[in-house]
Amino acid sequence: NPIIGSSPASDIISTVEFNHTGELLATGDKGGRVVIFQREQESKNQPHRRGEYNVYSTFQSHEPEFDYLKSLEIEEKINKIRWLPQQNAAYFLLSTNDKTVKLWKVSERDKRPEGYNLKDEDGRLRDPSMITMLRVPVLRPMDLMVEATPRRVFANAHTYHINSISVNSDYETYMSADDLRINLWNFEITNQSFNIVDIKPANMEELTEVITAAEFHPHHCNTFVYSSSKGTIRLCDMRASALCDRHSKFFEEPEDPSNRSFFSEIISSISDVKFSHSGRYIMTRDYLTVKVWDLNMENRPIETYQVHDYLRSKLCSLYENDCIFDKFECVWNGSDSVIMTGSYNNFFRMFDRNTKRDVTLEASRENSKPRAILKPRKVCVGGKRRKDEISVDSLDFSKKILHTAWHPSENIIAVAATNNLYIFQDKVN
Amino acid sequence: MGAGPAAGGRGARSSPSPWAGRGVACGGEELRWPGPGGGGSRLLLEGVRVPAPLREPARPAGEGRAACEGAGGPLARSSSRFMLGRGLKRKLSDYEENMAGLSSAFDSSRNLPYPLKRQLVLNMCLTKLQTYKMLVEPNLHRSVLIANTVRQIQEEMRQESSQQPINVCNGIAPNPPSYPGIDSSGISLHLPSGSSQQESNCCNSWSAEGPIENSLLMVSDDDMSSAISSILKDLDFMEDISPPTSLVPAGDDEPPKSPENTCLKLEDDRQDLKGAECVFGSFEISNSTSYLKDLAIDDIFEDIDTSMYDSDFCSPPLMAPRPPSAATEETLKTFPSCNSSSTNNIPICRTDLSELDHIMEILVGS
Repeated sequence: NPIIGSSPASDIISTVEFNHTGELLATGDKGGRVVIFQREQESKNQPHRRGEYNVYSTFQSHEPEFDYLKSLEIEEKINKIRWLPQQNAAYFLLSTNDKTVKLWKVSERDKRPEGYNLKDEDGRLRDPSMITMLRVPVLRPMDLMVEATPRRVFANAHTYHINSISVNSDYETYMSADDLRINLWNFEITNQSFNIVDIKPANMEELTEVITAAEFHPHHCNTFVYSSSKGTIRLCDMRASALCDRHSKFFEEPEDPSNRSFFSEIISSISDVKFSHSGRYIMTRDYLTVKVWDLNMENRPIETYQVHDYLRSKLCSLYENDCIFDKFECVWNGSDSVIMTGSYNNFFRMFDRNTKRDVTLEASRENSKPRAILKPRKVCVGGKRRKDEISVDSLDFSKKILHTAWHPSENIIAVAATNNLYIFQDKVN
Repeated sequence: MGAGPAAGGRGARSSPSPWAGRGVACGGEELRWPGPGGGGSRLLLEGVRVPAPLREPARPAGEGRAACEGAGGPLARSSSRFMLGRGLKRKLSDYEENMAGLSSAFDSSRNLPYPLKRQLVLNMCLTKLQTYKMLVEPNLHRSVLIANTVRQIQEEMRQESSQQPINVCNGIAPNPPSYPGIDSSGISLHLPSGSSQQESNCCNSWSAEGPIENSLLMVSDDDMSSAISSILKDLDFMEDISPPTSLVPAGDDEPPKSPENTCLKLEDDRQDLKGAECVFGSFEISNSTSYLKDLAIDDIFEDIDTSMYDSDFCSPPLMAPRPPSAATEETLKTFPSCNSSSTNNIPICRTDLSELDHIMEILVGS
């Protein structure tokens, strides 16, 4: 029997994203809310409080909608948040649910004008006959207020469910991808988008593959990649044609016949694709592994990391309870030397690409006392279980870490465990 | 800056993991999810003694780790509760447990023969597809993955069957059908213990009993393909609202049907939504679902010689062009003929009609 916690399901975090400086951390949840955390500034008085993230702004980004034409409810769950680079005092982010992308402006207000000529302090118009002198309103300080306003709404462009959004390096355009199509938008234009990828077959019965994730190259504004449910990645160049039906590069690893099972195709479906910060590599996450690909080598990845290979012998059970369809994300650290992804039982894994060492950590309340050091965890596969190990059969598959984020330049990570957000940082002496 | 956690510079720090925690709680207690189960479908395999399911309700973290003894956790639990007697009504939670138990058996047992495993997976896939069909908005990604898996299994079975000699008496898959550990109490299907049993599984001796997999879904290529097709067509819900064209026979590599193939199947021009429903109708008996309300059963079988259905099931004709359906309500199951080139050449062998009635009662869940 399910045990329902005290928190509603709408609190389940569905996306986590640092902004480009790492000063802000945004989370989206199943209830359509966005919560932004801001890092406290360094302070000489309280050096140990440096780096704490506190709530900066909370707003309702999306509401549930009803599509009357199809008699379908459109979930308000935030699928992705992507920040725009900061160009002025305000912050801008894109947030999307299944159907609609919104551009939000988050700005601070810490002054307000006082001393209006024609209005009194309450805002009511003054009696003109009472006005005897002219005065100019003056800006006076007020308590800091952070307000979020929707600046653009990009709607009605997706038949299927949006799974990815990605801001282009030109900062003028972005793309949104659903199961079968990818659209290119200009931030200024909300009533039109260009369709740049369309894999919908003329006859839906012939459909065998869907788009699972898409991302722009970090530096080349003409290049993007998208991943598929068949474990392939396609790199496209928008200069080649308006509709990028033909890929420039096609990344696919030949199947390992020794690992073949009924579930081979399902577990090869890529759930996330991310460019490295350098732009030289892409990382993909499928059900059991994380792979790093060199853009110059299409026939196989250059690195493969096993996230939880002990699940390979449990695939039928995981298929039965639908866990096999869980979509885990993956992230690079700032220097592209470490990659991180989530697993079950609130475990998450980090792989150091240089030393080839990996670690399993757990996001749980016991570990989260301030300044407590995280202890590495281990899952035991065989019969003999050591003292601190946990056996595969004891793993809690309802506690899955699907969304994580890594600060762009420091070793600070954000881990979403169902409806709790954990922030860990690497303590340097 | 940006050095990984394993990099040097930590000095005398002994802990291998320098990651320090400070949880920022966004909400209250952690929410545990109810286990997702297949909703609304019927149990397909009864009476199989299986170990307990992998999925385990969440336990407090400390307890979870400490409680894992060497004997093994949930998988070693007594599975007697999965054994069900005859005529017991089954609740959905029991069904879920049974399905979880079956998949657990798949994962843990090395003795399960490949065809049985394949059939199990196929059944799970079709169950899921059926469940999705009932949703207002099925998940396209999952549907495609499952449909591909079904096609793959279908293709494999087709290749296997095309490699077998076309032999009236030998309809068994190449693997020796010894299935230890599969208990079939509660239903009448016992397992052949050797090859001698195989030879007796001719269509001229219907009293012989076949392996469990024979009792499972027996679907022709066309029906399965049309099921997948109709689901994918349903998912095409938007601008391309064109009138549904008649389904092309699915699969370019479909083996050509021999003219003698009088396998019970729907005609192409009737393979619209009804096709899929008929496939999934074999999961459930017609009077228990609303899918089949529109179907005129007579229409489906107008080309079939129904004289056989009135005969005594225990003594069918020697070389039946098609095996009789077990009961009138089960008309939507399709049976391969003995000399067909369809997917399963394994003839279904049944015994008592009363046993069959009992099974159907349970399947219907009345």
